[in-house]
Amino acid sequence: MNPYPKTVRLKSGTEIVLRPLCQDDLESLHQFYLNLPEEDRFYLRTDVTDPRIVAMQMEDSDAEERIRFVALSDDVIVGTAVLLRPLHGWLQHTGELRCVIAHDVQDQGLAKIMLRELFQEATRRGVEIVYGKVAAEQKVAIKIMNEIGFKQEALRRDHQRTLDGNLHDVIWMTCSISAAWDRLEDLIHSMDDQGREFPNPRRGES
Amino acid sequence: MIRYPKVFRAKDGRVIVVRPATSADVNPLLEFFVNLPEEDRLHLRVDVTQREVMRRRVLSRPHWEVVRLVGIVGDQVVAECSIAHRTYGFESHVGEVRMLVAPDYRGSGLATYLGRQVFAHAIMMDLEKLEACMMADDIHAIRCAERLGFELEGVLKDFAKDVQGNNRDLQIMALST
Repeated sequence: MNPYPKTVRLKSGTEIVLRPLCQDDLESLHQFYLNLPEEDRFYLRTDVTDPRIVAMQMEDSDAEERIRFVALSDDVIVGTAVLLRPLHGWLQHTGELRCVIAHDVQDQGLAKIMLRELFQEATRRGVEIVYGKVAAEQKVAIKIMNEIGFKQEALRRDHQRTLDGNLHDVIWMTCSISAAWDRLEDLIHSMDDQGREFPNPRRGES
Repeated sequence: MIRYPKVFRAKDGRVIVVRPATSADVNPLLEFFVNLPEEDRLHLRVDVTQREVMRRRVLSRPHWEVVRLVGIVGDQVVAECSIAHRTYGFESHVGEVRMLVAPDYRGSGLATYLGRQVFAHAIMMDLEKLEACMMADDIHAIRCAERLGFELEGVLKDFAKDVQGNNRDLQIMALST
């Protein structure tokens, strides 16, 4: 049975609907990226204000699978989370995580809730190790990943070019999905019951 | 513009023709891959005996720019070296170098020669950094990368799985152009 959409409630009481990204989301996804403050877009891997790039990222590839979720508040996208998994070869059991959360709903545990969804899907597909690439200056992202159990395993010198043209060091952080899963469950449940799923009247329609 | 074909003379006098791969090289390349010894295949990123997967890899990689050189003796491929980078995004200045040399031609200087050839392409492609990944126990690949000037950037524990399903550490090496 398809479990989506799912509804969760954040610390602030905001209700969030989680579901996989679909082709019809292209325009609202582009709008979500356009609304991000420049400092939030600064370390993203592409210029997400360019609709061609956003469309390109949604394209399916026969080399990798993209498991993509969106979080919506009042039908507006407020977060995206993606896990990229190669379909062939020595890294088939790994998945790269990317997560972007709108400014208004940051610090409310939404990233962790979205990662939990991704991990669930990733585990079903045989992913054993998850990893993230973070610019060395992204202290908040590194702190969250450390909390979940990610460890730094590589420091990539001058590996990321930001929108201003400068190069930055990038840290590759990895974690076994089972360890990350346990930590995430604990972290989400320690948020005063926030992030807990509750019945969604629309679920039956999906 | 780099002129091809080029001729590489190995230390033992054997002659290898080096040129960019064409679509006519797909079958000889597949033959080269499947004839690699089993111990080599344990170090490779894909199961090279899966011909359809390999065919797709050789022929197209959407949104990537790829230069693939082959070393040819007679009508056989004896080496392959490629440099590839994504054409958009925050890592588009980083090129990934991959190299495979047939056992008979190892130690002949061919790998170093091919590496230097792709460096020339990297400069023309405006790449600023090159990377190479290998299993952490692939001593031959690590030595070859070191000879070309690559340095260690990290070892990712159990990050790669060989064709027998065993977890292996993945080593990442890099070089600034």
